[in-house]
Amino acid sequence: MANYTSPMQRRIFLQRQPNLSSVANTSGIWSSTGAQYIPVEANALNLSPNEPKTALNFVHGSPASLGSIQGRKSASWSLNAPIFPNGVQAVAPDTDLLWQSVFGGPGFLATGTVFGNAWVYGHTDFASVPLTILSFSHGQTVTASEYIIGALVERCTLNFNTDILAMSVSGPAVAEGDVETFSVLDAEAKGGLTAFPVEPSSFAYNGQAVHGYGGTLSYQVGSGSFTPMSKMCNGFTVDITTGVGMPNDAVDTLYPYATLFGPRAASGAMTFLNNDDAVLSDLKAIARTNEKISVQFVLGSIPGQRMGVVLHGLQLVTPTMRDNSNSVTIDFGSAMASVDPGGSEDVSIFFG
Amino acid sequence: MREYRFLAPAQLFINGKWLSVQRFGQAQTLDDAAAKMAAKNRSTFLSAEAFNAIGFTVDELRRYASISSHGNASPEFLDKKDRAIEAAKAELAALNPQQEVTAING
Repeated sequence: MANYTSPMQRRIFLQRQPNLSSVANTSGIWSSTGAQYIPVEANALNLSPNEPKTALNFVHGSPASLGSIQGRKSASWSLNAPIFPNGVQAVAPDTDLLWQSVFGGPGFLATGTVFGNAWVYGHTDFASVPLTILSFSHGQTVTASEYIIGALVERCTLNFNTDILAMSVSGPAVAEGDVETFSVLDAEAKGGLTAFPVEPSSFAYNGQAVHGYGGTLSYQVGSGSFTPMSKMCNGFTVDITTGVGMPNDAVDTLYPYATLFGPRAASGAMTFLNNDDAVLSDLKAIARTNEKISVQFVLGSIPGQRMGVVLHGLQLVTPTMRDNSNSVTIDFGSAMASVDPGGSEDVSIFFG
Repeated sequence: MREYRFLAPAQLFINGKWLSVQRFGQAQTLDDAAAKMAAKNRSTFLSAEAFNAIGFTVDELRRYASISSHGNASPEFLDKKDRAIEAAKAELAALNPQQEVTAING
């Protein structure tokens, strides 16, 4: 009788790759050094092979279809991961590798932030951090475990004001493989491995889940002080599009083979319950006059449990009003962050 | 095997078993391999001897067992916590010399 697999068996690990096409290994055996376990919900990870067929549309004396040949291969992925601050101030969270892939490089220790010392992520231009994402079906060695190699973050969305603080990330990847068909994978899809990875026997994760609310949202005009938007904002989302992509058109491979860097963007979307507060009135005027502001959200109050995000050069969209049953919503839509010429710091994330 | 005290929540999976650290100062006995693994995974802990030398009182460890309570903790406790983190930093560096992330005081 068959043993049916359950999504509850999954254990998800992230690992930085030495380059886009290779998985960390020693003589073909997966090296788990640096692999980070992350706790996620059962349906939070999607690893999707993209292996289309190319139809053979030759006329052959019959209207019936001929068989196809294999087309170019690639993969894509998406993950909704809770963000657990480490628990100790200014230490990278366990989602560190995802942030590294969002920002193109490692975070750094900064002093003098709103938290005092903090672990900060800011963009590294024209750099990428390719990841291996491994999904082991614990206790099941012959089926259901899979990986994706050369995973890059193309988009990262932070929906604040949620019950559990989380990040949604997605992007392209070089290839997907699984334990059951590993032996028939192309060499590129094996990433230098000669055997399917074995689930680590020891690992750890740190911190605990935190709310996506319970923070201070504020804005800054010019170099003035930050003005809090108190008890009126009921929706705040940050969206980062990294601009990375992978070409899949080389004459010598079916698979993506390089990282390309297109335009990058960061945006913030805010909704408010409309009221006559001077702060909201000021924001409406700022949207009309296209003035640039910085918006900062500082979440949490306990050292080691705090996260912050700052969007610079934000240009608010003139808002629309929407009637609800007992209130009116002011929706500022999606406002783009911006930099001065040559600048890079449109968005930064910090843990403190 | 050595007894350590953890300074932040962590979940450790060691040789097929989960160990759950929820309380500040929670004791956990680890062998060298497990301690190195936890250090590499950015857990923050220090030897029981070093932790005890800082002088946390029984009442402090009971009152501030949850990290969520530290927002309203006494200055005396927070000072001891900072010293514990500093001590942990040194011990973790010895356990994991390549550690790229370093805990420091706020």
